[in-house]
Amino acid sequence: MRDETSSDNTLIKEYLGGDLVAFETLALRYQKRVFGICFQMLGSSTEAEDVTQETFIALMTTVKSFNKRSSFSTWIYRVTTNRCLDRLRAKKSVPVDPSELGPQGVMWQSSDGGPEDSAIARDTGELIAKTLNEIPGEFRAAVVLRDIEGLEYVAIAEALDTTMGTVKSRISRGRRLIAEALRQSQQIPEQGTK
Amino acid sequence: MNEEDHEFTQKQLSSYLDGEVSKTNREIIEAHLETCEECRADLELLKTAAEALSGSDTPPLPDQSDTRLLSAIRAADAKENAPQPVTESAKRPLWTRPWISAAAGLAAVFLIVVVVSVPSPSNVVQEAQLSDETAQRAAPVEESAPIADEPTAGSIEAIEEKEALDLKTLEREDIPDFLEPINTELTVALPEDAEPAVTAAFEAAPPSIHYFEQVLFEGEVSWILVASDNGKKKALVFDDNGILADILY
Repeated sequence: MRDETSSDNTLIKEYLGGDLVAFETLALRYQKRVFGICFQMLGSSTEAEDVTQETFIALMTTVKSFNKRSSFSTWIYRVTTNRCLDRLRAKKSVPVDPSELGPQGVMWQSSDGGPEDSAIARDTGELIAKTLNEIPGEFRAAVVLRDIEGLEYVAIAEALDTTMGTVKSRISRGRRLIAEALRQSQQIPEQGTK
Repeated sequence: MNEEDHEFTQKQLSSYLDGEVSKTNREIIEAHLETCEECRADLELLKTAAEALSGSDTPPLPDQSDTRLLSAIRAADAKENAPQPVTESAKRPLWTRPWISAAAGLAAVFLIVVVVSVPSPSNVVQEAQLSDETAQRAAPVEESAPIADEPTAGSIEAIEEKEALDLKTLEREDIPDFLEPINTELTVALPEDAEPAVTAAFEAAPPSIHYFEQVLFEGEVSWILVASDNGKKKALVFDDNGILADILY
């Protein structure tokens, strides 16, 4: 197997020179991250694995046009979110599969490990997964990249091919929708008014 | 309470939470937060949502998903590199296949339109070079396109008809995500002084062309064209000089 410490750009260069193993190394390096985004975007691990494969196969071609002006990881985020948005558009809105949640689904990590907190954590995780699944894909992508993947706004703008202003707006609206869902589930008490 | 500051703060709260506001805006927001309970409550709500999201975890990769991923990659690579069955049309050189000739011609048409619209000495040279290049490419067009140097009697009428129609709006479909459309409803116009070869290519092309659009490809202005070749859809990318840069699928 390829030296796993090789930089992304080195592996890309080797792949473009005809070395498929270099691309495989790159794919395994990013597989979990791509799968994670796909899962958060699509709400199904089966579908996430499917789109993960599609993403890397698409990258086999598009990597030829990777211009190194942005980082390869940002490039991957871009291809991945586009693939997910395409999938969402294709299937419109399909409710999250409950079987995907629980131990194998989105979990909310509570600070305490007690049984009650675990139950709240599970409920919250399910609620967030459900709400994410219901909000528009563009908002979903923005909050997933920001709050789950931890990207800076500028990287999100690049990944989503949009402006900083739009990114700010989408994150804000996405968070408000999540917050509203949490509030309605009474996990957040209704706040006072001015 | 200053309504203007309140509205501004409401819009900026999420960015403020992430430290993505300027120093001046931060000061405005913080001053407003001191006096507005609603905005403080909203900030807490957004913070809770962000924390809940950041606390989300992704399930582990499914068993053997890495093996399946590598298999998919190898299969795609094998497919990409598999020898293609030789068909009659495949025996012909790439540029002699009517729809590709047409594509090249159309790319040149676009360029000529652009060049003509912004005349300059260098453009004149470029146009002349392109006209030559287009003629060379489209010359071998066979069967469905008239021979470049011998336009048919009906071709003038055909050109006039095209000019009367003038524009063709093509449908967007099957455009890869990484291509960024510049004009979402680009129209195709045949210039009055189009070379006969370009006209011939244009005449041959429309029935098979699904979509033609200016895009950013590798950060460069390019053209994407989707057309059918014997019932199979193909997508091509031309650079801004009308040269075929890539066949995407």
